[in-house]
Parts: sequence; structure tokens; C-alpha cells
Amino acid sequence: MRQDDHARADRLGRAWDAYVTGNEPHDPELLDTIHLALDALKVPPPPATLKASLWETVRQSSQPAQVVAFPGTKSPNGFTPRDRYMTVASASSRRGSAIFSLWRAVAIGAVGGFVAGFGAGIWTRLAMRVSGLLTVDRNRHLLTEADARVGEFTLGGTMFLAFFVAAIGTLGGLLYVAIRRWFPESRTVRAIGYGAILLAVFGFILMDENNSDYHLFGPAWLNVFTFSLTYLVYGAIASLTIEWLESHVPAITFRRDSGWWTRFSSLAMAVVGSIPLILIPLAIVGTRPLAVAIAVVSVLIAAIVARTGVVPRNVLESPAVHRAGWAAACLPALIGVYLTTQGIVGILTG
Amino acid sequence: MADRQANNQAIAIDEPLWVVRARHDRDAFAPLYLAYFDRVHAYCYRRLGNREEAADATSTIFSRAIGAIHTCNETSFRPWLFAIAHNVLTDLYRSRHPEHRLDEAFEVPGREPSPEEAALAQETEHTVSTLLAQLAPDQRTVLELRLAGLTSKEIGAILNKHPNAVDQAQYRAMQRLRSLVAAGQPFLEGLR
Repeated sequence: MRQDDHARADRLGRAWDAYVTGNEPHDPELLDTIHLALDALKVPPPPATLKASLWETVRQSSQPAQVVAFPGTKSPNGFTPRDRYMTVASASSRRGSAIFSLWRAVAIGAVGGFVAGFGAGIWTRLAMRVSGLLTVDRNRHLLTEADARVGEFTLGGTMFLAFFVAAIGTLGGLLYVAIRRWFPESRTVRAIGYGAILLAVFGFILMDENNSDYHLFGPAWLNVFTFSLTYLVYGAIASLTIEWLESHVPAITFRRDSGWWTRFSSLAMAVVGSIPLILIPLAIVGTRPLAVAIAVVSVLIAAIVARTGVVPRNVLESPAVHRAGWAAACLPALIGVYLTTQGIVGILTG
Repeated sequence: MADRQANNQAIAIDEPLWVVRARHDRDAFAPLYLAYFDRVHAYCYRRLGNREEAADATSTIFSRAIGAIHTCNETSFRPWLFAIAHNVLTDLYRSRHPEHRLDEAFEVPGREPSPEEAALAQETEHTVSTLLAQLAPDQRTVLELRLAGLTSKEIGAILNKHPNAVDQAQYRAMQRLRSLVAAGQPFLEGLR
């Protein structure tokens, strides 16, 4: 679909939402479209006696609803229904649905993050090229912090950088999947917003005031600008890719009566989703064993507290505890914002 | 317009109140049954293409709903009910024999209805089923749930799609439907 078709689709969707909730859309063209469907697909009312004749049957029955989804969680495509109206028939089905949903989310996040990382890696290479072109002659013979010579660009070097950023980018994709429920529904806001958050919280990784390359190779302000855009490029590609995958990749199922595309995508997601679930914990355990030990102990304590009722439930679910939880989750982000600001200011003030 | 009136009727009753009461008293489900019967029946009719199967499916849907009412969030009865309806009809499709062709759904067994009523019913079934059969499956499903009076968010939650994806499928369905209707009578006449 073209961009203007997307806009028309959004307008029609909003107009129809208003119509079904009892509000007349203002646009006569959209109202005509809705009436077209209602008139063309109008069905005759049921026989007058049918309603009453079925009521006794309904009243005396007691068939339970089928398994649909885990209550209160996101549907497999990441969209969070605000109300819990889908029921689960059994505990094992509930666990299966939750596991498949998580697996699918990890796979989509990993693929989206990888693609975005690759794009960001190419962008970074372009930024380096711009810096190289604007480097003064007396600095051209110098080596960068990465021991590379300015002006020497090879395909191998570019691909290495792109794939390196892509590998790291899988983490960013997983992060997006985890936090996307709190974003507004607008695709543009998600794309720009996620990049802005990454820049604010993780910008200090690139914006290192102790890195003299920012001053030696090209204008410092331009280097800060182009390398900051790396986060925005990554965020936009990750957001758009993951949203596209969420709406086009079906839920994981291995039912025999599902179509070939569903089974193929289920198998692909199972494989792709397994890679970060295995590699990331191994990498973390290998490099930061103390941090992992602290995290595991913390999770165990939290689970024991929640399960055994040592702390009353009304205390755990109180607004004060919720606020404290949010503050604890936001603290690392605030530290990141501080470090990023410090880094950018340090570079620009030389 | 009848769909809109049915929708407004459903909105008019105090749904959360009756859902809560129905958890303890089956008779309290009656207002909800009456408010949504026509819409659920119409939804089944569009999906299945004939009155008898639509009546059976409607009965199954409400039977399941009343059996599971204790699990329904009282503020979200409508999407909950149509999630059940969607699942019932999906299961019904899967259980059909492969040689059960779409045109068999057009057949209306002659019983009490007069010849004129039977002809009118058959013509309507033929037209609606023919139009819907020309749509892609996802577009058809979205449009059917739309005509049942659900919002994009509710449809998206039932079908595991983002509301934007629902809107896009709906838009493509309407484009296709518009071209079919514009092609008009000669197209439909040729199928009779």
C-alpha cells in the first residue's frame, strides 16, 4: 500500500470506530463507504421465533469457552488489550500460549534489531566517510582510536562494522519488543521516539568525551550530530521492521491443520528466537558472573516474596510500591541520560 | 441501519451490571442474549452463508458464552463474545469436509417459507456470499467483524493483529467491495 492509502485506511478505521460507537463520522465520503458495506452485505433478520426457541437451549447449556490467550497479557502480535476478556481452558494451554508468545516476540525482536543494526552500521560508515572528507590535511596521516587510517575504506571493513553493529542491535530489538506496549500507536512517533530514547539513555557509548577522534577528524559538532543520528536511524528501522513483522508473521503454532506459511514461519521463529535466548545469557554469564549472580538472587527473592505471601498482596500492589518499582527501573535510564549529556557537552566544549 | 440499531440497543443496556449478575444467575444473561442475538446471528450468517447453520452456530456461541460468563471482564463483554464467535466459526470451518463447496451453502431447503420468501432469502444469501467470497480471507474476516459492530482495537485483539493492520485490511476489503458493487448486476447475474 502507498503512503496515502495508509492515511486513508487510518481515516476509514477511525470513522468506522466512531460509527460503531454511536457517533456519526463528519466526512460524507467515509460515511458513504460505511453505508456501502452495510447495504451490500445486509442480511435478513432471523425468524421472529428463532430467538425465543434458542434461548432455552442456551440457558440449559454449560459449554466452556475455548483457549484463546493468557489473561491480561499481550496478544502474540504485541498489542495489549486493555481488558481481559479472553479465557484459558487449562493451565498447560496457558503455559503453552505464554511460551509461544514469548518465543515469537524474541524472534521478531532479534530479527528486527539485527536488520536495524546492519542499517545503523552502514550509516556509521557514512558518518565516518563524511568526517574523513572534512579532516584537515595535517591530521590525515593519523590513526583513529580504532587504529584505522583516515580515508581508507574497504568493503570488508564496512561489512565487518555493519555485522558487528547488527549483532549488538539484536539487544536493541529485544528491548523495543519489551517496551513497545507503552508507546503511542502512531508509527512515526514510535520510530522517532525509540531512537530518541536510545540516544538519551545509551548515547554515552558513542559520545565519549575522552575520544580525541571527535576533534581530530572533521568538525566536532558535525561528528556529534552524525553519530547521534546513528541512534535515530537504528530506532526508526527497528521500530518499522518489528511492527511490520508483528502484523505479518502469524503466531507460532504446530497444528497439523495450519497452513504451510504458518508452519514455516513457526519453525523459522523457533530457530531464530532460540539464538538470542541461548547466546545472550551465555555472553552475560561469561563476562559478568557477579552481575548475573546478583540478578538471579534478586529474581528468586522476588518470586518467593510474591508466592509465599510474606508481604501482603495489597502492599505489593499498592501505588507506593508501583512507584518505587518504576523509579528503580528508571534509575539506570536516568544515569544513562546524565552520562550522555556529559559526553556530548564534553565533546562540544573541547 | 438495522445493525446500527442493534448496536445502539446493546450500548443502551447496562452491560457490566448484567454480566456480573449472570455469573450467579443464568436468567440474568437474557438481556445480553437479546441485545446481541441479531448481531451474532448476522455475523454467523455472513460467515456461513445459510440460515440453518447460522442458527446452529449462534446457539453454540451463546451456549459457550453463558457457560464461561464467570471469566468475562464485565467491561468488555462485546469483544469477548465475538472472540468466542470467531473461534466457533473457525472450528466449524476446519471441521467441514473438503468437498463441502461454497455453493452448497446457497441451498435453502424448502420448508415453511413461502416461495417468494424462499426466493428472496436465496437471492440474498447468494449475493452476500458471492461478494464475501471474492475477498481475501483476512479482509473478509475483518469486514465481517466490523459489520458486527466491533472497533479496530477489538478486532485486532480477536485476530491477533495490530489495529493499523486491521484498518489496512479493512481498507483493501472496501476497495475490493466497491469495485465488485460497481461492476454491479452483470457480474452477479452471470453467477446465477
